[in-house]
Amino acid sequence: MASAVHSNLAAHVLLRVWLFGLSVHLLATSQAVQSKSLEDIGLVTTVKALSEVMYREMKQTGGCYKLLNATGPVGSQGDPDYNLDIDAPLVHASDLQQPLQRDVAVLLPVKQSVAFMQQLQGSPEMQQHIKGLLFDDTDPPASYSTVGPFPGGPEYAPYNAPSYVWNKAAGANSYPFASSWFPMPVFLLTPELAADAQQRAAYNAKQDPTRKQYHARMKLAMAAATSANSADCISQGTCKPLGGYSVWAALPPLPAAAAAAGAAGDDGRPIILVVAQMDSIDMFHDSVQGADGPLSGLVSMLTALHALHSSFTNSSSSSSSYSKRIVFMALAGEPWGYMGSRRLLWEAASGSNSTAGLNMSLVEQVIEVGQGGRLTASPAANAPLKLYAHSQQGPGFGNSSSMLAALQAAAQGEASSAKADVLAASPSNPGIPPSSLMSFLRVKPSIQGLVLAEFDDGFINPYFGSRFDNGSTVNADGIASVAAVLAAAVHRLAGGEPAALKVNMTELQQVAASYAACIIMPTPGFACPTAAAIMAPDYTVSTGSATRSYAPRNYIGVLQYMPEVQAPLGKSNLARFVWNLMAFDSSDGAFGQACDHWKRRCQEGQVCAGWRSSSDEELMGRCVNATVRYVPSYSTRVSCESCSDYYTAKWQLTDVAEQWSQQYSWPDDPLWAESDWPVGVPDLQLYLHEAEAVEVALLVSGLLVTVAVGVASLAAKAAFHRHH
Amino acid sequence: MAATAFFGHFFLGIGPGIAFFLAVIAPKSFVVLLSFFSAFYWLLVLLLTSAIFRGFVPLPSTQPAYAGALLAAVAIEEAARAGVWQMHKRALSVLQGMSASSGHSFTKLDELYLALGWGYGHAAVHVLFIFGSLLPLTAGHGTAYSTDCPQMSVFTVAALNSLGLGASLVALSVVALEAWGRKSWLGAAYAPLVHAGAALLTLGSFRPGGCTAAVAAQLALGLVNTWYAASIAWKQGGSSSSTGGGSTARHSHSSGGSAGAQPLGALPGDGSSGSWMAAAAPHGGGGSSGGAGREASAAIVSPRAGPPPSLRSRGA
Repeated sequence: MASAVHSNLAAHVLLRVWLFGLSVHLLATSQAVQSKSLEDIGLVTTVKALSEVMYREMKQTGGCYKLLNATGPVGSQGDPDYNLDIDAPLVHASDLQQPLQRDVAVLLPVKQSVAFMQQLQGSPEMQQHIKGLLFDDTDPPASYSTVGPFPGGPEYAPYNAPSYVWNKAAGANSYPFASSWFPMPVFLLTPELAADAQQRAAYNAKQDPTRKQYHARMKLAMAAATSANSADCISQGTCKPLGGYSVWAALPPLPAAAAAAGAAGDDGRPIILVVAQMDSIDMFHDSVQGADGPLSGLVSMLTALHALHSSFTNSSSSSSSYSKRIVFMALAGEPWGYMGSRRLLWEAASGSNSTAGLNMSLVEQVIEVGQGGRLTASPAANAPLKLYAHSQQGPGFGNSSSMLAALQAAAQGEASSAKADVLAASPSNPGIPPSSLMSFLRVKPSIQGLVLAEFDDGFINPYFGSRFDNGSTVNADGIASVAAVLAAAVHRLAGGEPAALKVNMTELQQVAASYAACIIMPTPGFACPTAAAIMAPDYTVSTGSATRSYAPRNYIGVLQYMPEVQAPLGKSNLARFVWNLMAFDSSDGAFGQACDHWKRRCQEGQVCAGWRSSSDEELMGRCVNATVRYVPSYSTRVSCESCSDYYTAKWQLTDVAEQWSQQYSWPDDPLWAESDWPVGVPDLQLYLHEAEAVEVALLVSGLLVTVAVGVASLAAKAAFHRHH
Repeated sequence: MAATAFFGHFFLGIGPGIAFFLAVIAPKSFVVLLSFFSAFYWLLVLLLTSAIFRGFVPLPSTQPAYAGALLAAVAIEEAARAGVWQMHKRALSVLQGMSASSGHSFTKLDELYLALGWGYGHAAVHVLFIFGSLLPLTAGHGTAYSTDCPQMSVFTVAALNSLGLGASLVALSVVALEAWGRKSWLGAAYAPLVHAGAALLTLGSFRPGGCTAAVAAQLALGLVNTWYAASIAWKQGGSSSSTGGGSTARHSHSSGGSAGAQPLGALPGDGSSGSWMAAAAPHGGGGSSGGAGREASAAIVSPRAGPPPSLRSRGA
């Protein structure tokens, strides 16, 4: 102990000496770099601070990572060799002089990005000389999207209209990310770094390129650098399939026997599926938002479930009186070839435990809650909100007129306080908009299906499928109105007595706002009180900061491994949030014993809701009578061996679902995967690079001075010795 | 090119010091030890200054504040130079006595070497603090320029300043110790004044574009100080040591009596082989005759475990 104390003391003393030395240096050399232009950090007083002035860094975030699908790569990558960074002088896109004479890293304002990337894709010369792209989102355009005019792809639609434009933002300013591959690293700068990069690029523009210049140094090594497609990289073990977990819950819960693992039947009630999607897309995964599309729909669905639960809690009625069963379903991975619904339908067809009791033959109706975050009142005071119900017309498809009627009756009746009108979407539309309903209609066309959304013939969201579709653009009151109408409508459709449902709009608006704060807003994110009460959210700590971030990450991510499917381990914050909310709100409200998911399990027919920790009785979950399940969402073309363990999990290709896919004429499974990358990636540095001539001159000068001093010293010594 | 920048700055800021060390200091093992001791002493002084400064940082970003801090640091260091003089004086006294008893001479050149040792330690600590702490950053890819000095990087300024200031500090040690030995208070004032001037000179880098002139002046000051110190030492050439002017030195000198005077006169013509310093050096040879007692005295000041071979052979 004593030696440790002495060691600490010595380290402390040395530290002080070190600090002093630097302060003396900075004073004595008058090199205090002050906050005047580029280096906005104030007075430099430590070596670390000087290093931070020299290198503005962005670590472990902001990359446009390499994805692969069945046909090729998407995204970007740096030098495959982790130890070789890509380094090039920074040039603003507006300052590029064609033809390019030298290698550069381009600072690219997002407003110019679409035209620039189109030009880049078609120019081998630009691809040769442009060594990196740094996106600057400082000044967003009026509309922007990273998905095409028909998000998800027209091949999934139950109609043939490949050129129809659902995503109106795509026509004006979009670059379809899913078909873009850039052989150089692409980064999205943080707002602070973007402002810094603007100054550095402006400085470079005024300087002779042979003199000192600000450079960008980029590290975006991808393990699957040489893989041609996802099948290759999965075979080589250099990538992981995209994946996550969908969640569904039944109201009323399934009978205990039917809910048991492997059970095929239930009590035979027809099923009404209420569906919402969970995640969005952007070329920069760390910045995916999806506030309006699809998270507003998810919040509406969860709020509607809360409305039903609240109504039952405050009355003598219960969901057991329903003649139909309402299944609330949140699907993960839908932007990636409808991966979530495709997988769920395959799991249901193959009798998976995660869909036990979800008998597709009993599914009669599907209501998908689409975009509803931009619902705002018309300019005229008290004008109702307009909700559009999209249905698939044509022979063979179920007639959803009864569903539309229920929605309209609900909006005029028990949910009238929502002040919303439900309108049938324009008959000139080719069919339903891009939605998970397409998957259900593919497998069971007789389903009566509706998509409830804020738009009629095309998206009104100018930022659909982009990082600009953020929380600042959504209106929680509109989401609550959708929830009220939805809850009242499914209550009617399930056989509930309309008058029995009490809709408290004020409460629903508060609930919708609280849910939106958790899953849409970066702050508080999953540090919100609602999440804190029902789960232990994961958080991230950014490099160089001790601040925890609970911001939602609405990119689906990859499946490294698959621990026990119905336990919270390995599930995203959002999946666990939805699971626990659904567990509480689809239950009868009775709390059972304290529980966890491993040792103190609940009895059959119950789930352990609200578990946060096993070490404290107060933080353990409570057994509730509910049916709620996680369903893995990943490509039907892969399977995982020894997948319960992180270290032994091995993904491999499979054709087990091929026959099923052909039976329903599914488009080819895109088999989306994301490349692995080494620790330390991504990394971006902006720094001042000295002119090479200056460095050589310094070296020569130093050598000459050193030799001269040595010779002079010897000569002087000899002279003095002679003299003395 | 990171290696180019690193070695360029290394040779510019530290290389000359190493060259001087190899040419002048290293052959004299006692001076090497003295340099290390001096560096340790000045390290303690800087630590003390550091402790004092910790109560005042961060300083206001104004030139008067910086000037005040610089002058305070210089004042502390120059006060500490009095301690150096005391130790130097005592060392001279002991060494003169030892050399006298061992039959060697203790020349002005030896005294100059001691002054160089003290100064080299002082300069080395300064250079390490001023520049050595920054040197690792030059091994990276980037550089840094202050807003007011677009002509050269922070590291180049630091390297050149440390070169100039290092030369000045070695020279000032020679000048100061010689002046204190002569009790020339005017001469003794030279070191503090020039040290303060050199420190304040660096504030010129705060003026837009002023770093070029400030660095050039720093280098020029280093050259001038070196020339001045050399000229002082040159003028002292040929005479035997008498700067141990304190009572201890006089006592030592008197205790040596005629026995001490005799070896001085018996020195061979080549001072480098006949002086005390040469006898104590590992490769030093020559010297006059001596007995077992002289051998023991020489062994104390020798860096080796035993006495120098030349003395051992004579004593055997």
